[in-house]
Amino acid sequence: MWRLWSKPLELLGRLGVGRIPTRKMRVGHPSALDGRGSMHWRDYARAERLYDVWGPAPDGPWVPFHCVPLFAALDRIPEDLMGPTPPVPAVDPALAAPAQLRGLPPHARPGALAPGWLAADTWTLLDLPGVLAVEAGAWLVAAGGCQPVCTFDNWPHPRGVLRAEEVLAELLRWATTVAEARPRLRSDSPPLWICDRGRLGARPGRPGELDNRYYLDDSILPGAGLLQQSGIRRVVYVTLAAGDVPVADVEPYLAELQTAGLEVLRVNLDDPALAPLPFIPPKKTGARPTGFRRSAAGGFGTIVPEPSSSGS
Amino acid sequence: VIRTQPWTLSLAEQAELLRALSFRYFKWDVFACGRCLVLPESMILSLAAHAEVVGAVESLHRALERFEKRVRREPEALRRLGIPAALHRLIAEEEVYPLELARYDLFPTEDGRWMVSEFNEDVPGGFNEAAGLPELLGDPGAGLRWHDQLRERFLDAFRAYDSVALLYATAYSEDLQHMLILERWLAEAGHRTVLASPAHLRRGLRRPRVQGVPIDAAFRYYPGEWLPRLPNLATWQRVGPRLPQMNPLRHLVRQSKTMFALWREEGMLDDEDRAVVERHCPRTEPFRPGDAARWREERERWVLKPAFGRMGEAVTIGALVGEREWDETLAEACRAPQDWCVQERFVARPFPFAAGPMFPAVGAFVVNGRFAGYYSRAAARPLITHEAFHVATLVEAA
Repeated sequence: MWRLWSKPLELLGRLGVGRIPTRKMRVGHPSALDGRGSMHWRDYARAERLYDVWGPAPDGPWVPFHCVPLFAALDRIPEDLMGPTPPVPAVDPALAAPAQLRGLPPHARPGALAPGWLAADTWTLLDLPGVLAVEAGAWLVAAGGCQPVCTFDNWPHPRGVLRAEEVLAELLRWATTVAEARPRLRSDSPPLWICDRGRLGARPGRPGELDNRYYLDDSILPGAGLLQQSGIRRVVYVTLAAGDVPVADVEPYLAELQTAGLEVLRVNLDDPALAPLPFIPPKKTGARPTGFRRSAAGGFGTIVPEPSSSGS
Repeated sequence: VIRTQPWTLSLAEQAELLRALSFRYFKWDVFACGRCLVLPESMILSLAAHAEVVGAVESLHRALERFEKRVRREPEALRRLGIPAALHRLIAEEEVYPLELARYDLFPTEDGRWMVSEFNEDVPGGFNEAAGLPELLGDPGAGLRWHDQLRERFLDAFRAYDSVALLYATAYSEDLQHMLILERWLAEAGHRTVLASPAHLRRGLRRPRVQGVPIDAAFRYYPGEWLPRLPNLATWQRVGPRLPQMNPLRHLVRQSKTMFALWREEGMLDDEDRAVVERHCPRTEPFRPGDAARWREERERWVLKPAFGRMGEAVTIGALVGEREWDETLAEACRAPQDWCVQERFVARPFPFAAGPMFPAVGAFVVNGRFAGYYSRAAARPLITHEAFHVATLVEAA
């Protein structure tokens, strides 16, 4: 009986009946211009080139924290499907769109002046929606001479819960701007961690989606001891709006740094003065969670006390 | 038995090598907490030590295979091994395909033995370094050789399968890095591959599908004991027994550390296997709350282990912790005694490394019963965790 069915079924299989159409991974647009209005972003369209331009000084202490995964994904994208973020029509501020849709305020975009808080002994943790974090990162590298460290520890996928490809396109967009500033970077330039505020996601993955959320752990966040040994005395946590609370994987970490004697401040980019405010640690204290439990579908859910990997 | 030899590379060349390991071999976690986890030196095994390691892992593999065959259709034994009941039928019905990859970590001991404290039979890792370092370091020099047959043996095992799914916990880049090196090997050998979560497995007309792609086989890098939490467990129960996968779910029998206690019971091993096990594996007792007082008294002699912890997770070595931590772990084990066991501590032997004395664990890959290369680590304490150093392994030539 099975033989009677096998040939027609094989034929249907070859014709692709029942197959979910494969979506190709695209990053930005190949004809889009970079932040300097050029096509020179193509000079950075390889994983290692882009990784280097967005990385800290190679002889400094921050190299171990610069994450490879998202950059590595670039080498799997065909050239004709890759480019910087295409231009988007400006949103009328009068429509009172949420801050992340309005984009960065003018005083925090590439071309704006450096903020007053930047100094060699200050470690800045930029925690904005992914695309905006990259753009603000370009601003702080170009204007403030910061050495960037990217913390994008995920992988793009056509059915990804997070749109990691948008972050990758934005890294391409500002690559030439950052490249121009790089000759000024030294191993003691102020370190700048560039983080996607949406990394934990707003919801779990749905059937068929690929859960590419992630969290920052101690392989990405330096301990208080290393910061102090490297001459850091002050930490500035930067968010977009005044109401943005620190992300769950970072908040206890900031409290820990404060307890260890580092001055921890907060800055909201919506404030035109970019004035640092004191960081108020969470009321609930306790051991810092260093990981999140994996969810059944390969993502993650609740906090667990130890980082983990599937492998052994 | 073991000696070490520093790499003859300048600091710039070492940095270049680590970068190549990251970008060409997808080894993304070269650093942890700001520290480089790859030692700039190689560990050299004498020819006799290598022969002993190969002999040990291949004979242990045969013993495990026979033990698994004996118990995999016995629900009571599976329960005692801590394997979730939802998987018992699947394990019993699973067809046998030659798709097995394991890594056994052997500790040289003060009394001259090679001891294995657990078997990585479900989701062993370390492919990136095992393949990358021999290729990047190149010719080891006169009188030394690499043993790196992992790629070859892995591809041999998948030769019969055209389309292969690589299933992993997608939110973890440290798991993805393992998949990418295997994906490259398979693609270079002409296989079709798909990277996905085990939650993406679907039934198909003739073959199961993953992300719309019909598959002939799967590589599972997702702990078997977590499968009952998948939203598509029913699909796994239906499709799993006939899906050729590396590793099969029945390997949970071998992965469970409570196996060390079970196989000492009457009738579980034949004489030959018992001799192998007694030479290389520590004495282990099932956790019985009634014996907690004795284990509290003899803290320095014992190690508390959960059945399915990985990378040293939740392993508590009595001699390395204080009374308070030991008591807390005992109390935790008392709450779920079936998930724990108590292992007699063996005295691992430290060896001199450039960074000071360290305890090496010589990891030997075994593919379909045959030794397939090394992935070794070393740590300042006799406990290998995710923060241990990777160390390239060479063998003296004949």
